[in-house]
Amino acid sequence: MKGVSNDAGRKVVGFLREWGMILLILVITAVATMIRPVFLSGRNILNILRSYSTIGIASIGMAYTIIGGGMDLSIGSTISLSAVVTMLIINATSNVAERVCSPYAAVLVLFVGIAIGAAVGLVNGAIIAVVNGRMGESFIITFAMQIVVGAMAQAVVKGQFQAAAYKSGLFKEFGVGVVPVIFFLVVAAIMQLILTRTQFGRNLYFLGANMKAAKMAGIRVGQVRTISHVLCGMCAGLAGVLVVSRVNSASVLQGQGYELDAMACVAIGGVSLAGGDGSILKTILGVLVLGFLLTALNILSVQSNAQLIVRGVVIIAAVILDTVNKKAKLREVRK
Amino acid sequence: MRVRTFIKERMVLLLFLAFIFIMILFKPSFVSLTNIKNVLIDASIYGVSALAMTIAIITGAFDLSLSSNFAWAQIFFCFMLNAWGSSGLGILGAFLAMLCTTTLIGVINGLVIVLGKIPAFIATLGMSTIVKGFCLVFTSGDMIATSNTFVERMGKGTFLGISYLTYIFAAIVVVAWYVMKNTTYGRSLYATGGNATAAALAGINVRLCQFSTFAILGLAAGISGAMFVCQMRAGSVLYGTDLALTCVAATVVGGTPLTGGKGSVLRTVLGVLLIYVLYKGLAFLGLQGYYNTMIRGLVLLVVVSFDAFMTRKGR
Amino acid sequence: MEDYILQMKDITKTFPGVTALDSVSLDVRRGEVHALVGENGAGKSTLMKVLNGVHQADSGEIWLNGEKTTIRNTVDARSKGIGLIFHECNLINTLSVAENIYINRLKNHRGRVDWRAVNSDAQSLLDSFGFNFRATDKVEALSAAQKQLVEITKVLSYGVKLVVMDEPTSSLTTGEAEKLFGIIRELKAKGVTFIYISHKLDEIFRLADRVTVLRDGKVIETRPVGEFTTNEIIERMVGRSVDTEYPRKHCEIGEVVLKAENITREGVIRNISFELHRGEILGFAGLVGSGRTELAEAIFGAEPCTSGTIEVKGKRVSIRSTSEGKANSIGLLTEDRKETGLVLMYDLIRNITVTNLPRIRKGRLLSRKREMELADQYIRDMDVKTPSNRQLAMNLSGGNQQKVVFAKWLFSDVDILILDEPTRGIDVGAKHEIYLLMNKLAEEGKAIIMISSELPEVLGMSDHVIVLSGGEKMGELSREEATPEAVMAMAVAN
Repeated sequence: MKGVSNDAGRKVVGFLREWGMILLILVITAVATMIRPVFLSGRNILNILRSYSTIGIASIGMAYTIIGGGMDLSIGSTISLSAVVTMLIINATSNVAERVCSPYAAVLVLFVGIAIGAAVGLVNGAIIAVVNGRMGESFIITFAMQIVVGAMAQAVVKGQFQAAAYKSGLFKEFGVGVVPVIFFLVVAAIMQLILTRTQFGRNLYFLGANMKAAKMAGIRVGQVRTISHVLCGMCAGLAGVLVVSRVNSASVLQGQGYELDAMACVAIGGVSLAGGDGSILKTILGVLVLGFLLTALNILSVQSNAQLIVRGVVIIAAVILDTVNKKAKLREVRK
Repeated sequence: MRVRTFIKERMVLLLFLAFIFIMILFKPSFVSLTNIKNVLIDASIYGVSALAMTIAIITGAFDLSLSSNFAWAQIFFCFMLNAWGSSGLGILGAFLAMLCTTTLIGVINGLVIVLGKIPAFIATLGMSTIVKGFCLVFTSGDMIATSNTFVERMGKGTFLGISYLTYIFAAIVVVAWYVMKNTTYGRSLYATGGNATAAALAGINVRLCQFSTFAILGLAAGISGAMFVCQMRAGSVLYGTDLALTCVAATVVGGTPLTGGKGSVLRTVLGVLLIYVLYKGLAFLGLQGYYNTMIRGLVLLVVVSFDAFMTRKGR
Repeated sequence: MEDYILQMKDITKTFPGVTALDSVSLDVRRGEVHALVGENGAGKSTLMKVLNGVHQADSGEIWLNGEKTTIRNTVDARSKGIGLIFHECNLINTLSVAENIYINRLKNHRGRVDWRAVNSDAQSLLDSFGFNFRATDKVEALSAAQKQLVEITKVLSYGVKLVVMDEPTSSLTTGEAEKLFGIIRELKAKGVTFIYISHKLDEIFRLADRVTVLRDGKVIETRPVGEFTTNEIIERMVGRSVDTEYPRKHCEIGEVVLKAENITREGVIRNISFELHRGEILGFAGLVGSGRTELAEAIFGAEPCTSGTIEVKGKRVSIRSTSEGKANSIGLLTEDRKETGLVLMYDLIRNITVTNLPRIRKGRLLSRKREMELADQYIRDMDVKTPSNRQLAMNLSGGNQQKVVFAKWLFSDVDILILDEPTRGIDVGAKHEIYLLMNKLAEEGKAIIMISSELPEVLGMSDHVIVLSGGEKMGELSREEATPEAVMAMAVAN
């Protein structure tokens, strides 16, 4: 009798794990629409996608470090740094009289933002690789890095809020309509390809699943670890550029909390925080869930501070669910 | 040989002394009685949390939610003082009520980690967010102040020229040292952190040990928060955001490695003193706040990286 | 009626895919030293883990002092007078010897630990055995042998009446082992009973009163030790005459492919030189802790050597990492296939192709189709028994997992294969297949280094044997010279 109920329980957990995300999105949508029909409008959906595209890009980077068995808590600060530098460059190169920003600058900041992210990621990755670290070490090291990079962002603009000095131009287009969503999808496609179809991607999975076994299979574990952090940093740098374009301003607090949102998205999507498992698709589903959930809370006028609590609960719950699911899987194997 | 192992084990400490020495070279006037007293007060306030973090690290645990819990302690203590602080009993009640809430946060951390079997890093990061959100909801993001005269006296008062807060810290150090060194409970914490499997085989309740350190962390966050309120007479979610990492650094600088099972709370007293000498010194140099923060962050980064390098696996 | 301290009746224990114990019965008389022998995987350790409550038997009964009992865990076992000295170390490195001995029963007054009493009690215990370290020493500062002695002291300090020792001398020097035997005899005179597990038959003849031979999870025979000869015991252990067990076919030995000179890793191995030829199987013999695995890791680059030179196919190479080892055509099949050989949560295909991803590339990207085809071919060649190639590695039996590890390194197309304990923990049939596979590989021109703790296996399969002891090379023996006596004499010399 007990065996039967256990069996059923496992099936339910397994089902929730595989299809729970889509189910969750549908439930959130249904509930929110019932209370505020405007939720299901095309405009609202596009709004959600647009505002969560930057978190989505950051989450994809985060997914890389997590799949490799690590973590990057410094992405929030990286986004801030990339954002303020972007704003300074764009404002400095804009035509003041006509309030148009230069198209060349728009392309330039993409490179600069990504380069800033790559540099931060390189420092993170190199240190973690040298100390032969996994999740614990990457937590502490990137946490310290968050403080350093955050202060650098402040130093760049002397703590001042930067407003846009332009009204139109190519850079402005980055944040309008479906453009941010296209950026997100392109990044997702590239990162998915790297993860599943290159040697690096395959090695990253092994690194996350079992670092010692990866080393004994002849994988350059330090190199793979470093690259994963560089890619994560690049995603964060790009997110910083795009966020400026969308909100037309930059402050040193721009990226604050992004690391939590990214971690939440990755965990909700079902990428195992223990490493070695997960995909970009799962991450995207996680982004959608968080986006729909928080927007629904907004529409239901739950204040943003309370949403912080929701994020914390969601992270813990997702990780516990993952642990339970793993145990169930293992039990199935034992049979 | 002895000297070599000492240098190897306490490299971080020596590195740190070098930092401070260089700083004093830049500003010799930093060494003054007022500054020394101020460092002692800061070290006392944050030292309580650092001791708890050391105990957790010795047991093989870790808590990122310490910062948020510390902020909550300030906020809630100020709030309760404003409500009940007119009588002596009311102040005691406010203090105990606040301690209950911070300890409860620690207990929840412990339950989630021990029963949910999830990594302490993630659970406490999640909890950190929850508590921070709670603080913001509670205060709407504003600072909360108190003009309670008792806490003012506690914060300003001295005995033999040394702040009351320092005596409180000293008393807690003695208790923590005694418990860790001379009680069976303290020794089980060491055993758990040293080799959890072996400790469990020897009949030690490893999960209870781990759980209890989170309760201690919550308690310590509350005490630190109360001492902070005595000093500042205000509470805000913005105060002490890098506390968790500072406590880790104080532990490491003192000479307790992050690998667990080793070290002592006495070493952390030295570590926390050195850290706050550095912090005070940085403030004294008159740099912009963000350069200050940047140097703090860099020092923390160097310290934790260095420790991780010295104790990396397979060495 | 005999006075039995312990009777285990019809104990059966199964693990996924293996019957570890098949209706095993064991009677131990009070005050005897009862030896338990058998090949790796015969079920000795499992039986003792059942006795100590680490595993629970599927069926069967345990009787202690004539009463039926159940044992829930090691603490429970100890309170019933049974102490187990594990093969693997269960000490807390960061604490002192005294604290490890008295770990969960530190003498205290109202919670205050009486350190003076704890230390002096431990010291007098150590003194009574004549051990050469102090109770206040940190365990991490001790040698492997001294740690073993702490473990023994700890178990004996509980005043247990039945002590189980699983290979207690594997990391001890001859002198230390001698001392241990003295202690065992002394305690035996005081009425303590021992169950003694060892591969070293000479120890058994010197120490034991009776011997039980296990094979494939079954008891073959129990007899007083005097009624056995060494060969009789070995025959019962392996189940057939010894010569036919190792199907080594001699094949053409070619040029030198690997030449190591003065390989040293500070504090672990010293000045080891050897040559390995195409088509040759070179055995590394020695006791546990003699530096065999460390030497293999130095050559492969997992823990690079601090001095010494390596030449591969006549070219001096630098191997500082595992990827450089692989690039220089060296592959290492680790001794722990579950932890470091395979990623158990991945399927067979991924596990096999990881060593040589460029082979499954089409252009710049990996081709899943090509990967499937190639991996499929290797899985068939190795004769891995699996319902599907997408099966997760954790679902295979030990022997099939080992075949996958072989496939993984053959896929990388290396010419030098280092096999560290390739037949550990797999059943007799699968072992035989592994031996045949080694023959085939040598014939195809691979050069093989084989590390094994099972002496008959090393002697049976190798063309040359290098004997290590204490991190040094003690000598090199040809197939003809390598008798068990000659190898053992070298292995215990340091």
